[in-house]
This record gives sequence, structure tokens and C-alpha cells, in this order.
Amino acid sequence: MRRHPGLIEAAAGGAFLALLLAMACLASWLWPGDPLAFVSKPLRPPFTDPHLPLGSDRLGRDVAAMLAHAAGNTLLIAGSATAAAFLVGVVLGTVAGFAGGLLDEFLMRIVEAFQVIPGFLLALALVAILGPSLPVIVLAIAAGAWPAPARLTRAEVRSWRSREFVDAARLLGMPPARIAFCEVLPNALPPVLSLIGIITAAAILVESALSFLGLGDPNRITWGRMVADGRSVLRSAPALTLIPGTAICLTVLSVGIAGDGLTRLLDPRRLR
Amino acid sequence: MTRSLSRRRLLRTGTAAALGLSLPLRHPSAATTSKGGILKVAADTEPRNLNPAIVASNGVFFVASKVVEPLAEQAFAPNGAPIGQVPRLATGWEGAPDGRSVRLTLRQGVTWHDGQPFDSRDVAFTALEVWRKLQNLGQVVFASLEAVDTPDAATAILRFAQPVPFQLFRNAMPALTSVLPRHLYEGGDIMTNPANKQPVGTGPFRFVEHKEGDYYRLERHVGYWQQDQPYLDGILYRVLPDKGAIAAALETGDIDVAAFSAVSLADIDRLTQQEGMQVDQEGYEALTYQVMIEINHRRKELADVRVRRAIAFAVDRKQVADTIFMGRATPATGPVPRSDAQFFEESVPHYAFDPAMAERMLDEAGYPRGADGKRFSLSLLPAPWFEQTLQMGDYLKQALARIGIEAIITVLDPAAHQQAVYTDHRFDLAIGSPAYRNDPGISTTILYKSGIPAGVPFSNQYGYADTLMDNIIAQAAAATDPIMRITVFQRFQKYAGLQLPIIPVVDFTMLTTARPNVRGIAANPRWAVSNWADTWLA
Repeated sequence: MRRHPGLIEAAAGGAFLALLLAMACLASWLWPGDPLAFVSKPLRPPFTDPHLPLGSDRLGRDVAAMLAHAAGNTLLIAGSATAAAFLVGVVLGTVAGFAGGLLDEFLMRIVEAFQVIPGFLLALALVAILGPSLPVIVLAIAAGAWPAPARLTRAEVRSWRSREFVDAARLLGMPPARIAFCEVLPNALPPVLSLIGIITAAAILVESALSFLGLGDPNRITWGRMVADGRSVLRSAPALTLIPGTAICLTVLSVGIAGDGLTRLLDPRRLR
Repeated sequence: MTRSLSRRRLLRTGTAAALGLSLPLRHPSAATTSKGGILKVAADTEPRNLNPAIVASNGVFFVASKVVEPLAEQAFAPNGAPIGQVPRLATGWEGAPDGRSVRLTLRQGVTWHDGQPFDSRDVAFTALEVWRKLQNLGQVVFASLEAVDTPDAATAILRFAQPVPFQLFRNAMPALTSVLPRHLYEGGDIMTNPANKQPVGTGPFRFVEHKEGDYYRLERHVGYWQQDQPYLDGILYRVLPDKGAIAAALETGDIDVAAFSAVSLADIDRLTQQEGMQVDQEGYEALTYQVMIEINHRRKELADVRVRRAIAFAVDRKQVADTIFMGRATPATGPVPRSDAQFFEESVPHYAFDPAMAERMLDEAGYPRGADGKRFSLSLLPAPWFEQTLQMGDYLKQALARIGIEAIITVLDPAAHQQAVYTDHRFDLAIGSPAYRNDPGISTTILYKSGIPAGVPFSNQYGYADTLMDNIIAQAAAATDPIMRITVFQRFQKYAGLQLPIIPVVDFTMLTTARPNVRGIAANPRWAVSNWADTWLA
């Protein structure tokens, strides 16, 4: 174990996420049909009816079905937003770090322009203007998340670009873009990848907050929306808020732990 | 709940029998009332414009009706039916048989909150410049108002170019005739007058201040014309947009009253368990709302009456009433709610829940299910102002999916929703909640008649135009004989049920939740938007 610090965390977090992913995939098989269908009497408490293991909400919808379907939506949105943020951040960071000079200055000013606006406010504004739909929500979350990987990639690329193997590649006549993305980037990437956990966790929280404020896609169920719906009956049926709230909490926690473990596994000092 | 209902029923019948009054306004007798105290009220919306003569809406009345008074108020008849008006600023009203004039006798010795005397010129000014020209509802009812004669300070005679049914005028008085002080409004731009935000009236309470996001504060008007009233020293409206917070504030005593169902229906049962907490369904008899499926007839499929009927058959009104409204609503049969005994017509086409029938009708109309099981796809915009309209959107999406129609929900903020539905017509289906105001002529026929310019909110912006419907509405508008008028409105309801340009789903009213020591709630059929002069704290 001492040879692999972080393995336990990465495994535990990963296992929970795998479970979540399995639940998301099985949701439409275990609870076919629209999870938002009105299927029973409203406000059935949880653990009282075998057909409704987690009870029903204010409108008689199956809480278990909503929870499972929402897992898929939440993971889809958070995953896509993280992927988009990384793609943009890593590409721009590599270009800026490798090219240097004016292009670097220019790209870094753009990064700073995004960094000075709090990510959540930016997401709120974008969704309010463009209207809530899946691509817009992904874009809105990614817009606030990409500067961090961009800056880190740039810093790493800068530290790698003056190594001997880069000079060697140049002497071999490799085009600069190929040097940057095929030679430098693979070396610079590991520390950047450690951001995945943080960014995914933040994406889940931003998505939940948007849904909670009623700015999610009304045609899709998400945990944030379940919390928002449950809030008005918080005192009479606290389970409706607690269940999705716990799901958000555990997911963010496990993403964070897994990301942390991954960081330590990929620690360059240890690899060296 | 039962306790408070029976108490008031007893009180009402008791007073009526004992005093032999035809329209008993249940003033508690002086021996039992106690004076003083500040009533703390939950406000879940925060209107900026508090001028009830311009914006005749319940959100504005909730605060402004305590400050600015109408000519008359709605009152219970002895049997509890919400019928009849009692004097406020007018003490008498009399319509000419030809419907071309109404003679108002005004109360004397009334002063505005700034000390100026009130007289007939205030009524003339407000009628001509505000009700007729600027008011959302008055623009319909007072459209043909030509002149207002003021032979003396206590008499105003409204003259109309077209006959206006006196029955309509009487029913319109409580909501449409708030009187503004001429001396503050004359000569300037009425829409930007500071008194729109800082109202000055003749009512039992004086407007003190509005702190945005925090509170509205009203104070007792010492020189109120009704002696010994108001009983309260003041009213404090605390702005609390969150239903959960309102329920908690009621329990802790931070607020005394939450009206307009500001407490979530799911919390009501829990609150009634609390010692003495009053939950009151009464006091809204003249404030019925309907959940309405609004339909854009510009969309080819929806212009077909068979498709509209199919949608009506797909909606289980009872389930909507039981689930979304937790039993506190009645399935609707037409544009006039059942609660209006005067105009309600039972024998209209009924659309009992029958999804199989709905599917057959859609097949016949030429919209079979496609390979993916869908017939066609519609956009659905639920109005964001009530929790229940949003929930109805969720319900309708499911109900339509069952008969093969896909609905994509879009939720907009209130201003954007109004713009999309009533100005730009960017919707296929919408969920609205029109208020019914005692008379179909006030705010109901406007939902059915054609030729209304784009941008008029809560009117027929649905692209529905039907000559026979327009004729019926024109007949009703000109019918000065009350019996004749009722007959025409019965025809209106039958034809509306046949044509189904929009689909009424349920009639609902609101609930008041009050702490045990609040007295005099639900004392009239528009209690939440009346003047609260006879409300007191025990």
C-alpha cells in the first residue's frame, strides 16, 4: 500500500462513482417510462410501500425512479461540462505556453477575463440569457471551469518546453504543433488531470444550484430540482429534500476523494 | 379548520337573523373587539406599482386596498352567497334603464390622507383619466364612458356612449373603481406619478413606506370616515418569497397572517394541528381563479377543434384537483366557475377523463402515432406565478405523452412569460390562471373575443377568432336587462364548451392561514383584498 499512496481513496471514490454510473444505466430498465409521471398518491413516506421504496413526492411521483434517472442526468451534465472545460483549457493552455510572446499574452488576458467573473454568476447569466436546455447548461458550467486547467497547462508546458528532448525534436524538423501536443503535452498533463476531481465536483454543485433556482431544464429531472421541489414541504416531508441532498453530498464527496487519490497516484515526485 | 368555519358560519347566520339585515357586514360588536396592535402579514410578491386604479390585480390590492378605496365592496348575502355590494366611497348607485348613465351618491366628510377633502371631482377625474384609459380591466368595462357630470360635491353621473349593463357596473365596482386623489394626479403624467409607489387614498390605513426586499408599512388613518375604525394601529407586510419560510414565520409568531395560499398546501395539514391556528377557505368567494390550458390557434394541429377536444379528454381534472391542489379545487366545466351561482351554467359539453377517446379523436383528425409513438410535438409554457401552474405544466406533459403528443416545457420568468404568450405568441400550449371577477363581462369574455391587439395581457392572444362567439359577446355587452344578460352568458358558456378555444381545468380559490389571535378574517368575499378596517387582534 505504501508504494501506492492514494490508491484507497481513488478506489473508494471510484467504486461509488461506478455504482452511481451503474444506477444511471439501469434506471431506464428498472424504472421504465418517464420518471416524472404521476404514479401514486402524493407524499407517501419512504419505506412504506414496496412499489415505492423511497415514497412519492408532492405530486405523487416515484422518488426512487427520479433519484435514479437524475443520477444519469447529473453525471451526463457534469461529465460533459468537465470534458468541455478540459478540452478548451488544455488546448488553449498548451498553445499559450508553447508559443509564448504576444499570443500567450493575448490568451492569458482572455483567461483572466473569465477568471474575474465568479463561475456560478457566469453560469446563471448564460442560462438566463440563452434559456435552460442541456447544451446551454453544459456550456454555462464549462465557461466558468476552463480557466483553471488552461493556466495549469500553460505553466506546465512552459516548464517542459525548454528541455533537451524538445530541442531534439525541433532539430529533427518536427512541426511546432506536433511538438507541443505530441511531445510536450503528454509530459505536462498528469498534474493537470488532478484537477478533474475538483472541476467535476464543482460542476455537480453548479448544476444542482442552477436546478435548485429553477434554471435547470424543466423536462429533465435532476437532484437539484428534487431539492427545490421538496423545499416547499421541508417541514412536512423532509425526506423529499434529504434524499436528493444526500445524493449530491455523497457524489461530490466521492468525486473529491477519488480526484484526490488520483492526484497522489499521479504525483510526479513519486513517479520520478 | 372545522372549528373556524363553524364559528364564522354561526356568527354570520346569527347576526343576520338577529338584526334582520339583508347584507350584514359582520362588524364585531364594540364590546368584544380590542383596539391596537400591528398586524404582521406575509407578502410573497412585491409589486412596485401600488396604484390599484391602474393595475387592478390582486397582488396590488393585497397592499393597496387598505390605502385606496373603491366605490363599493363585495359583501356576503345572508345565505353566505357572495352577492351584493356595500358602500365604501359611494353610498348609493342607480342605473338608468337605457344603460347610458349611472348616478352615484358619494360619501360626504371624507378626507384624503394628506388632509384634502374628497369630492365628486376626484371620481370624475379617476374615471375619465385612469379607469377608462389606463386600467387593465377598466379599458374594457369603461370603454364607452363619455363624460362624468358633477352637479354637486356628492354626486357623480357617469355617461356612456354605448349602453353598459348596470349589473356589470355593480359587479365591477369592488375591483375596478379605486378612486385616486385628483389634486395629486391632475396635470402630470399619471403613469410616473410618485403616488403610484407611495399611494395616497381615503382608506383606513395610511401608506408609510416600502423598503425593497424587506417590508411595506401601513399606519392607522386617524380621520377615517367609519368611526372607531380601523381597529389595528398598523399593518406590516413582510416580504417573504419562500413558502417554507412563511410557514415557519407563522409558527414562531413572526407573522400573524398569510393570505393567498402563501403557505404550501402540504404544510396546511401540519399547521392545523397547531393549537388554534386558523385555516380559512372563505373570504375568497369573489376571487376565484381557474387553471386554464391556453392554446395557440396559429398552430395547424391546434386550430382543429377535434385536437382541442382530445386534449380536454386527456386531462383528468379530478386528479389535478386531488394531487396538485390536494383536494382544495373543483374540476372546471367552463369559463364561469361553479362558485358564481348567478351566471354558472351546468349543461355545457363535459369532457370526462377518457384517454382512449382522446386517441380515437386524434386518429380521426389525421394525426396517427408515428414510428416512435408520437403524433406531434408542442411547446408548453406554464405560467411561473403560482406553484400550481408550474405543477400543472408537469402534469399536462405527462397527460399528453399518454395520448402520443410530446410537450416540451419551457419555464420563463414572469415578464418573459407574458411577453412570449401575450405579445409574441411564441407558444403552442400555455398554462394560465385567469382570475374570475364576479361577472363574465369583466375579465372572462376578453379571453374569447377576437380583434384584441397583441400585447394586452390575459386576453385572447390565442389567434382564436369566431364570428358567432364575437356576436354572443357583443350581445352580452349590450344586454341591459339582467335576466337577458344571464341568458346570453349561458349561451356563451355552452358555445365556449363546444368550441373549446381554451380549456378550463379546475376552479380554485385561496386559503388564509392566521394565528389564533387574529379576528375578523374572511369577513367578506374579497377579504384578502378588502380594507381590513374591521380586522383586530385579540
